[in-house]
Amino acid sequence: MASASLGCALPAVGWREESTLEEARPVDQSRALDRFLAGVERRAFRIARMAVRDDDDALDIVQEAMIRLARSYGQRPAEEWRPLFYRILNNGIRDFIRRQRVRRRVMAWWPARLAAEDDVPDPVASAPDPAGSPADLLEGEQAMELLEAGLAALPDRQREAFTLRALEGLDVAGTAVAMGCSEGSVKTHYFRAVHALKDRLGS
Amino acid sequence: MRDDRLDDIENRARAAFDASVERIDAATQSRLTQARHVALAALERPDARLVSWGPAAAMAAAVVLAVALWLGPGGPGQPELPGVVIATGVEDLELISAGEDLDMLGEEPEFYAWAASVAASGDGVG
Repeated sequence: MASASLGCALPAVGWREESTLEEARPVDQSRALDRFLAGVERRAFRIARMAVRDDDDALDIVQEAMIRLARSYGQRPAEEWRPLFYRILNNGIRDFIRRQRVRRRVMAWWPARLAAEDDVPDPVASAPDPAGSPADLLEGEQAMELLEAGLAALPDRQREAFTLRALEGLDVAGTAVAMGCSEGSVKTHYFRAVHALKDRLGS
Repeated sequence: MRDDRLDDIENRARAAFDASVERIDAATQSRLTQARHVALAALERPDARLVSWGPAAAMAAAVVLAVALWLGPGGPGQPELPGVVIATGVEDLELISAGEDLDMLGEEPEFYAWAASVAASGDGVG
């Protein structure tokens, strides 16, 4: 035996294997979370962008949602992440909009507005990938603007229900988890959202 | 049978949304990637508040829960108030607080037909 010739006691093979498995689990979880976040990050950004109408704010909200999911639910089974992530995202959007409304009320009393801090966008960095003809891109952007306008006109809960059900494809149960309400409420909000959009956007 | 116009709205909205996701520019994608890496680093550091306050927080939560159950609706600490109906329908509160017009569902027969068709189709979208 190798251990005998070396004159020292080596740990049993079984113990070493178990230790390797224990070390592998956090890496597996991290990889799984990486895959999940990579799959939802762009859609999450678009959802936040539709709600808050600003790229930087939307990115902050998405990053915060990712961090909260990782910290609070990163050790849970991966199949639970999707509705949880969208719940965190929706809460972040709602909090942001609420703070924005308060800020506007406060700023309305402030006669000397602070200088605008908007950065001039870099036309090269902000150029979309040339995935289609200019006409196709324009048509797609116009369609998205119509959708954003239609969703912005909806009450918050209707917008959330439509976004999660129609755009993200969550089922009723998952949407209920994401919205923090009952499945009956989800159906009601969604029904009203679809009809409101039909009336606004037409056929 | 579902209204084809509703399906059309859903399909067009999804198509526009999917196309907009594909159009995200490189700078935004880069920032999203950075955000993801920050979140993955946070995975190594679970919520520090819960970790450090764990036992004390658990005890405090247990006390609060016990008090809430004692004083809550139907609890032994809740006085009997004749004629008072305590609302337990969370769904009702959700809809009331949503700030929407309270159309009585009884006036929306279309809703029941739609809900039945969705249930029959297995809650599929579109």
